[in-house]
Amino acid sequence: MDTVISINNLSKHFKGKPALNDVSLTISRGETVALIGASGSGKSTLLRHIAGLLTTDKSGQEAGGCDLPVCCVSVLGQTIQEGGQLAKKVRQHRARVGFIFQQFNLVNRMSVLNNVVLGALARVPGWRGALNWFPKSEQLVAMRALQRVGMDSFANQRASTLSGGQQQRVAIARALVQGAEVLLADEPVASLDPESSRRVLGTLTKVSKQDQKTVVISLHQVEYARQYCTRVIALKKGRIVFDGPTANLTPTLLNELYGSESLNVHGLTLDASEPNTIKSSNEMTSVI
Amino acid sequence: MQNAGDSHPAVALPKRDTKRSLMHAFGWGLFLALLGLSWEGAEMNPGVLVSDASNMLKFASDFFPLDFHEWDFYLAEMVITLQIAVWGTVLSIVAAIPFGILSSENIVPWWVYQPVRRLMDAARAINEMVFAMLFVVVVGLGPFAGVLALFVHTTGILAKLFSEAVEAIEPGPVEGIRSTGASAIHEVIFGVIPQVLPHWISFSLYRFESNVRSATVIGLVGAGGIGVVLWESIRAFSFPQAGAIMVIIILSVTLIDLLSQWLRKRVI
Ligand SMILES: Nc1ncnc2c1ncn2[C@@H]1O[C@H](COP(=O)(O)OP(=O)(O)O)[C@@H](O)[C@H]1O
Ligand SMILES: [Mg+2]
Repeated sequence: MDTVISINNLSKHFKGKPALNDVSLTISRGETVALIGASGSGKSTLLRHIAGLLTTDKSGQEAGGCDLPVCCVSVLGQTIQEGGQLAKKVRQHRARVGFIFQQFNLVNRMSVLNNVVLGALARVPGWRGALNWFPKSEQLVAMRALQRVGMDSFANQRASTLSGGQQQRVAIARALVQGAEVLLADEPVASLDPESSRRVLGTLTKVSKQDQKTVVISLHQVEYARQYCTRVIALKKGRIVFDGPTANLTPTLLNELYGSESLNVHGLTLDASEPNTIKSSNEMTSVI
Repeated sequence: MQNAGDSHPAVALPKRDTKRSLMHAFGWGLFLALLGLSWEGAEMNPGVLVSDASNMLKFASDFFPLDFHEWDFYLAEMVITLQIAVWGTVLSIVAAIPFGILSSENIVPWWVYQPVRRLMDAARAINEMVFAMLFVVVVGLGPFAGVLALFVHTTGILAKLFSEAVEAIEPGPVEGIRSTGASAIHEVIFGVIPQVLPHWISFSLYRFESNVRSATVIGLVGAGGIGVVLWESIRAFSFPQAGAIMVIIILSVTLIDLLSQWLRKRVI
């Protein structure tokens, strides 16, 4: 299987405080990966590094003096960043990576269609983009994308007048127009009600399956990870503590990740009747 | 009355922060000292208001009855004044958009925004009257000198106001655009400007109001408009005419202010 996302020795400190600690991973084409972990465990930070929205630490020195190998993040065979330096062509690479934000991040004052056609900014001539004057062919591409996420009847409406779930589906359509082969979604349903959440996650996983896209979704609710993703990567305090098939998630591990109290508070309880699927324990990299 | 059976623990007011109270007193002392020292420099002399009251009454009565014989000429000059304000403001808005963005620390690195901000500081620090005098020398007497004076000074003001709005934006929508692979210019056009546009429009209208007022005085140094006529009638001691001109200025400025306030309320 060909590797789509590859991260080597990623460490990140914010003002001396560690957020990610020597994270390495690879993700292959067509995988649907859930990124789980408690709040503050580094999920957003990891995703933003993949999209080239954040840069890694410059060298191993920031991580405490030891000479770690150079941090390197590449997507679809292109280096996004290396040693804390964004690639020169990072803007071109970003076009191939769609990013879905928790807060949608649409242009509120613009119509739905206009928001979606902005996904073509990277491939139309710069002056056309600047004048917001997109060729008819691109507008048709945008309409088709809206149709796929079930939002075509809202094309002329202002983005700010939509519900959260609808805005998120528009954001997915924008990523489709981008032609992104990789979709990164940072807690895409954290501010949505359960029904909209299912609709958004369903749309996201459906279109990516149809197009053979690679998807990484950070999620707060383990239930959704189990329902929509085949592989889970769990972060705790900036380290990967689990990486394996969703089926291998155990209550023990979830307890470890979230703590037993917060597990209940967040409604993350796993069904006790669920068969305890502890298969190969070597897939759990140091749960402690 | 003491409540013996009260199960609540006793509460106490937080201790007064003596350091803060001292700072407070010191601040007020400094302010009063400043007022006292400035009294001398400003040659404050409220007594004359009383002793020369009759003089002032006499002077005020010289204005009446107001002389509106040449009202059509005054009105035409007032229109020119408004036209100076319109062009001065529009040119400054056009210039303040790039300068405002280039002085925003969330958009450009420090080595761009620092020099641009200093340039804007200079444009703002020097009054439009001073610019008017300079431009009269360069382009000659007349309204165009006034337009240029308002243009330069207002650019300095609007660039600062514009950049303050830009620095207060939500970073999210900008990242939304960035994640599509768009260029930096596109990030500004679609990520920044839609967020600040209502504020920018409001600031621009507000500056247009001020520029109408400023345009009535820059005429005093020969930069065109009703100010020139006013200055000439005062120099000729034609106070009834000067009074009439001032009435026209007051009416026009009030009208413009009301109109622009009404517009500003609609955009925000
Ligand atoms: N821009 C930032 N500046 C400073 N600290 C940050 C920043 N972004 C994230 N952090 C810190 O990094 C850690 C990981 O954050 P984040 O990736 O947002 O976690 P998650 O998305 O899993 O909730 C947290 O401790 C957070 O406070
Ligand atoms: Mg997060």
